[in-house]
Order: sequence, then structure tokens, then C-alpha cells
Amino acid sequence: MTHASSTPLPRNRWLLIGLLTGPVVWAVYFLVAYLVGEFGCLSGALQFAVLGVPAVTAIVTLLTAIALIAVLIAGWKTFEVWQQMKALDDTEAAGREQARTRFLGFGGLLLSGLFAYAILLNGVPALVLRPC
Amino acid sequence: MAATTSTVADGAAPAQTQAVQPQPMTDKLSELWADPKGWIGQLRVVQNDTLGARIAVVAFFFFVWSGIDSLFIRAQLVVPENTLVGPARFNELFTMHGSAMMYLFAVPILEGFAILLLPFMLGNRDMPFPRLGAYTFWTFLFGGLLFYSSTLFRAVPNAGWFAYVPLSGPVYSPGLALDFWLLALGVAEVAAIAAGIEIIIAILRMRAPGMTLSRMPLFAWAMLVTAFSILFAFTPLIVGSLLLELDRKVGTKFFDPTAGGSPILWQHLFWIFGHPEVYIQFLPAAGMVSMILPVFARRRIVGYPFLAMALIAIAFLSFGLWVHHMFTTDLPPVATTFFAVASMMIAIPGGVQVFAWLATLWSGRPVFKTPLLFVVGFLVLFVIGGLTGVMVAVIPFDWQVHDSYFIVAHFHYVLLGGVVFPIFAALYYWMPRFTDRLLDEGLGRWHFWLMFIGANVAFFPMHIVGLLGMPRRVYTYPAGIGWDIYNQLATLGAFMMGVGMLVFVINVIWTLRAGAPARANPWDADSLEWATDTPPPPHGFTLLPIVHSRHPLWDQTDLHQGESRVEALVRGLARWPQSWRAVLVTSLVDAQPQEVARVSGPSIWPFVAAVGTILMFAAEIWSLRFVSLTGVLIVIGALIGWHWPDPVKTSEQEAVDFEREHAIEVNPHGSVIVSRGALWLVLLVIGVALACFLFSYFYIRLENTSWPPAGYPLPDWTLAAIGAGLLLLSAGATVWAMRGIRADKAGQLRAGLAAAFVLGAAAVGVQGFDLARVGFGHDTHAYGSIFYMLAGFGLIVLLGGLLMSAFIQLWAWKGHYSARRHTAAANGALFWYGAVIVWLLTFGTLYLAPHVI
Repeated sequence: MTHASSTPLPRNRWLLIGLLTGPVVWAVYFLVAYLVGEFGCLSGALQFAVLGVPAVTAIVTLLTAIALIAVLIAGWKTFEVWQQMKALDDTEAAGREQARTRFLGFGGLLLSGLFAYAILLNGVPALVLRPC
Repeated sequence: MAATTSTVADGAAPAQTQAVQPQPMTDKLSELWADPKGWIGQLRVVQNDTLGARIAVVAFFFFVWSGIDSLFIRAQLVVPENTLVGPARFNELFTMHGSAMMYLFAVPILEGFAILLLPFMLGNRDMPFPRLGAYTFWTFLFGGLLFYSSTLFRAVPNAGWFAYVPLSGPVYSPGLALDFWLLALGVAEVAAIAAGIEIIIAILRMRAPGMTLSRMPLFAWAMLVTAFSILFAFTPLIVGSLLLELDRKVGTKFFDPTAGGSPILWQHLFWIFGHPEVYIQFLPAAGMVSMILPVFARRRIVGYPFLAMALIAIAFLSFGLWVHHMFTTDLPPVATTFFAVASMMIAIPGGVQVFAWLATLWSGRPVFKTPLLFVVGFLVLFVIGGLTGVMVAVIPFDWQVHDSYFIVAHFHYVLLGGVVFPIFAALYYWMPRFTDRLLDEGLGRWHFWLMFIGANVAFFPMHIVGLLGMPRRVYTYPAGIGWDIYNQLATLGAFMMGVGMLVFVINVIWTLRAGAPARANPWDADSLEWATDTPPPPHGFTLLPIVHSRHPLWDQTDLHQGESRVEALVRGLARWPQSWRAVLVTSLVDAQPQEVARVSGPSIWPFVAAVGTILMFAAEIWSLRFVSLTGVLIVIGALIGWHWPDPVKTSEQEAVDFEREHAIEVNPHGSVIVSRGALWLVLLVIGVALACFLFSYFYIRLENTSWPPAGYPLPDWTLAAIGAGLLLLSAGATVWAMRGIRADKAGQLRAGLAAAFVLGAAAVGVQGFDLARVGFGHDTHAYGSIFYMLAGFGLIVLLGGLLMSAFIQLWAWKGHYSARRHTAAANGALFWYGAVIVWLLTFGTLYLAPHVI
């Protein structure tokens, strides 16, 4: 059965954004969290406590939460795209656009999942270790 | 051709689909794309086939040379208290071995493969910047030769491949050896970045019609992420090397802790490069494995989306690992643990790839020819290395084994297994494509088994002797402490590998002279590089292929069938133009044709620019300022020659007719899309360099209790603010100029650019005046050093913009630009905006940060 998609396909720009949100958010989060940890500790600027919690721990945990939410949202969106594509037929006539949309959607799902996990795990040391 | 289109997952179509090459047009195009003759002609070659092969061959020579160094290392260590080489010579040996392998072999050979293979694999005729590829080759060759020429000057680098300060600094390495290391390799690093830019544009914008991102060969995915990684990783190395060379030559104090500097800063800058570097080597190798393995498993690769995403994931994650080389420094635990986590996480996409490859082999019908043997060897060795990698990601374990032979074992398993074995697989696999000969299978097996068994015999015992306490980089060890047998085995294994290498070299020489001829697609492979004749004509495809599948040669009976508009376009491109080299530029995601653009024919300018470059760098080794200045002038002259407009022989009318007939933009003056893309990438590199300089600034700030340090005045930002204001005005003038030319008002362009130039020059004048009276020098304290470094960077970028603007204005005054055609002006404007932003961030930091932090 061949038919054109009744819902318009997401534009390429959004597909690429969905694909790369996971890695890019992780990269920015990682760099910022690391700099907070290193500069905060070595300079002494962040060696105070907020409501009994060390500042570095609090900031890193907050950053982890923000990054995680961002990536999970991106992951959810790409999951929706992928589900939408799975329901459609994939023949060459319909084909090339749906195939690459499905590919980019699924890819976004994989990358979002992996990097959400990476962000989560990266946040754990801040909760376990004494920061400085 | 038999229409055996495979719809089952298993099985390749045995009918060898070939690209059609209409003969008369093929001959004309071959003539157009042929390399020029004679020895001056050799210097002017820009075509990707020749360049890619040259780069790969030169890199292979460095590999062999470096391998011989390693045999000397192992010969020295075979027995305790050996006297074959002394400690000084031993330091030189392991430095040269490591440096040559890491800088002069692995990355260049893979870039060479990419330049050679990508246009074929992607279904196009050349790389987007042929002259840049030529520049890459010459700078790489000259840099490598300069590096090895250190032997002639008895100044062989000896501080390891990572040249830690303070050992590599002016106090403990006062001779020229480290200057050779920094400057010669610096040239090679510039070559790598140039190739990286070109590879990105080729993969993103020069694929065959229909080759969407989801149909791209996995080697293309691998090279895409690798090329981006090169831009992000090599730039910090160049920055760090620059800072170290300045410390050595002009007395700056970036890494001197007694004067406010930080030796750990070197480690950071080095390893921000050093860790991604090994993934820059591994990822293309993984890409090649993903191309080769399915062919010999006789089935499509399992898990293509997983493999493509794993490549992206590894490239990103690899930038979060660098501190794992610094676990034994005194960094805060929270910070180091982030890197431990990321180091373990990267095993996930790595493992996904391994499982996909195993699944492909398992569910296929493997044919164990030599390429597949090397792929299987890769799987075994790389997994073993990966396992020890996860072990050393555990910080307390790393504290025990850091700087021991356990680490040597780990990285040789991952590098030899993960990079060298796939390179050999690739050589056996693709050599028949380009030389019309198949390498001998019997000798191939000997080569493989000697290498594989030799590798394990050489490196497995190193795990044990490392755990027993043997440190790295020791030229000998005492007798009677139980390390002897492991060292003997390691040496035996090394020599086994040496014999294997000899077998390979014999195989190559014998095959090229008298080997069995290969037909066009001897492995029944699926990707486009097998679709042309053997050996392929210099332009590759007369009729460009139209792609409908990930495995075009297995799934498509006809490589030139598609939408009628696209079919007409590729037929048109086979006939016209015949007097300039045309490539097809396509859209990023869907590879829809967007532009027919010219790429360069033979040119002497890349060679001249490379000569200028090597003069610049080499002269600095001996501090011969006038010679290095001459080098700078030669480079500038070559760049002018390079960019000097070169009119085409076809008429404007022919281009317009083609445009109208095929509804596609034709740009005989060069691709608008490609040049814009490259400019963005250049700005990206400048941005990364800026980030490194700013990171260094704040890191040095961290090392000092007060900022500015005692005795240094708080900077007065009045004049700097005026300079910044002038620049913002110049940006406004540029915007106005560009608006003018887009409305076809050439006069407005000229006026705007002239105003921007004057304002920019005035800004340089004002800021320069202020720098002259800051009241401190660069060589007393790291504060002064980083101040002048950042200022110099901002100034140089802007001066580059002024130089560009001068030439654009020259051509504007000659009436060169119109609304339809003003790419250079647009690119120059974009560069200018980037330079203004760099200026604001550098001088903003210098003049405002000390007031705030």
C-alpha cells in the first residue's frame, strides 16, 4: 500500500535538532559541571553550604536535573516522530523522505537515551562524594 | 544486467552493477581531470586520487620508520641492564616512536584514505577544495621530514609524545629538540585541520543525488564525526604548543609555577587534544570495518542506525574523557569522577558497534579472505584493549597502574588492534580498486598471523609486568626481580610483527610488479567506489550515480535511474562543462542537487604556501626571525595567488543555458555553498582557539591568589572601550555594505567596506596604543604573558579580516561584484563579524575580568 503521509513530515532542521540535542546538551552540561567543580573548589569560591548542602553539590545536581529534562524532552519528541513513521509504509514511492525521517527520529531516540543515561550517571558523583 | 534485487536481509546481488561511462565523454573528462606532466606538474597536482594515495604512502613510510624505532626499544629491553642504547637515546626512541605513530601515521593515513575514497563512495568527482588537499599533503610531508631531520641536527625530541612541562620547558630542555617537536608537528597539525574542513564539506554537501543521510556509507559517517573532532581537538594542541614554544623562545611564563603559571594547564590543553586524538584514529577505522565486514559476511550490516549513532556518540563522549590521563594529579575528586564516568560510558556505544559487527558475521556466510582476517583480529584485540580501558577508568585502579606497563599494554591493544589492523584490512581490500591487482592471499595470511600472534605475545605480558611494578619509559631494569621473561616475550612478539611487516612489504612490491589482475569488483562489494572501471579514471564518474539504497551495487540494477529531472541533470553533467572541473553540490539531509560548481584544476599555490609555512615554522626553531618573516610573506603571497580570480573558458551564456535547462544554479567561479560552509568551519576553529585561550586565562587566574598579581595595575578600560566601539561601528558599516550589494548597489558595497576598513584600522591603532603603555611586559609573570597572548590573538584575527577586506575592496573597485555574484564579499563580511566578536571577548576579558574576579 503506498500513500503519502497525511501528517506533514517534520522539517529537516527539527530532525537534526532532535538528533543532536542529546549529545550537545550533555557536552555543555559536562563542561559546565566540570568547570563548576574544578574552579569552584580550587578557587575556594564555592566552598560554602546552601541549606546544609555544599554549593558545588547543589549546583551540579541542579545542572544535572536541567540537562536531563532537556534531553528527555528531545527524546520524547523524536520518539513521537519515530512512532509516526513506523505507522507509515516504506516503499520507494513514499519512501526516501519517510525513510530518512524514520532514521533520524530513531537516531535521535538512541542518542537521547544514551546521553540521558550519561547525564544521570554523571550527576551521581556529586551526590556521593565530598565535593572539594 | 540481471535484476536480482535482494529484499531478504541475507545475500548480496551477485550481478555486478556498474556505473555507465559513455566513452567519448569519459575521454574528454579524463583529459580535463588528468594530472599535469613533468616535475613542475607533480608539484601542481590537486586531484584527490593522487593526493589521497600520496598522503597514505608517506604516512606508511613514517609508520615503518616508527616501527623500526620500536624494535630498538624492545631490543634494549630484552634483557635487564642492557647497554644497546643509553638512557638519552632511549628517551629519543620512545618519543619518536610515539610521536610519529600518533601525529605522522595514524591520522594522516586515515585522512589520505578519506581523500582518496570519499568522492567515489559518495558518488562525486573530487573533494571540495582540491588545492587545500594539496596543501595538506605538502605541509604533512614537509612537517614530517622536518621532524625527522632533527636527527641530522642532533636535536632529537626526547620528552615523550606528550612533552609534559616542566621537562619540555626552557629550563630542563634548553636545546632545540623540543622546538623540533613543537614546530615540525605544528605544521602537520595545520595539515590535519585543513583536511578536516574539507572532509566535512565533502560529506555534508557533495553526495550523489538520493544519498540521504540514512543511505550514507558508514565510513562517511565515521569521517564526518572524525573531521569535526579534528577541528575541536587539534586546535587546543596548536594553542598549547604555541604557549609552550613562547615559553621556550621569548620567555613567557604560561607554564612556570614560580611566576604565576601552571604546569597542569599544559596537561589540560594537551589531553583535551590527546584523548579525542585516539578516537580520531579509531572512528575511521571502525568506519572501514563497517564497510569491509558486511562484504565478506555476504550480508548487509546489522544495525546501521545503531552503528551511525554509536559513531556520533563516541565522538561527543570522547571529549569528556581527557582528565582520565590526569587522575594522579591533585584535581578535586568530584571533577575527576566525571571523567571516570564518561570513560566508562563510552564503552556502551563501543560495545554496540562490536555487537553489531558480531551479529553481521554470525548471521552471514563469512568468506575468510585476508581483509576479513584482519577485521576479526581487530575485534579480538580491540575488545581486550577496551576491557582494560574500562579497568583503568576506575580511578583507584588507575592510581596503581598509571605510568606502568599495564597502560602500555592497554593502549597498544586498542591502537594496534583498533587502528592498525583495520588499516591493513583496508589496504588489502581497496588496493585492487586502485592498482588493478589483488594482493597475494598466501602472503596475506602469513602477514596476518605473524601480526596477530606477535601482537599478543608482545603486549599481553606487558599487563603482567606492569602489575608487577615495571614503570614506563625506563631504559633498563634490574636483573633478578622477575621481569625478565615478560620483557623477553614482548621483544619476541615485536620482532614477529616486524617479520609480518616485511612479508607485507614484499607482498606489495611483488603484487605491483607481477600480481594477479583484479576485475572491477573482485569482492562483490556494495558501495559506490566499486562502480567505476579499474583503475578508475581521474574524474571518477562520467555519469554521476543516482542512489536509492544504502547498498547501491547490491540493490540497484541501474545506477543512473531516478526522477527525470535528476537523470537529465547527470546526463547533462557528463557532457558539459568540458573545460572546467565541475562537481555537484547537494543538500545536507536529502542530497537534492543544488548547485553545479567549479573545483580547482592544477595549481602551484598550495605548494608555495606549504613552502612558506614550513619556512615560518622551521626558522623559528633557530629563532631566525627574518627567515620566518619571509615565510609569512610567502604564505600571504601564495594565499593571494590562490584566491586570485581565475576566469573560465566557457561563456556566461552556456552557464545560463545549463541553469535554465536543468533548473540548478551554476557557479563557474566556485561554489557558494561550499565556500560559505568552509568559512563557518574556519570560524569554528577560531572559536575553539578563543575558548582555549580564555580557558588558559582563567586557569592561570586560578593559580594566583590575587588578580592582577601584586605590583600590576588594574587595567584602565577607557581606550579599549573606544576601540571596541569603533569595531562595532565597523560591523554596522559592513552590514550596510552587504545590504547594498544584495540590492545590486556596488557603490554602497565599496563605501561600506571602506568605512569598515578605516574604523577597523582605527580600532587597531587605538588598542595598539593602549597596549604599548600598559606598563608591564610578557616575560615576568604569567599575567603579562596571557595578557599579551590574548591581545595578540584578537589583533591577528582582526588583521586577517583587514587583509581580506583589502582584497575584496580591490575587486569591488574593479567592478567584480553584483547582486548575483558576491560570494567573496559575503564571506569576508561573515569573517569580519567573527573577528569583531573575538575582539570583544578577548579585550573584554583582559580589561574587565581583573576588576571582577
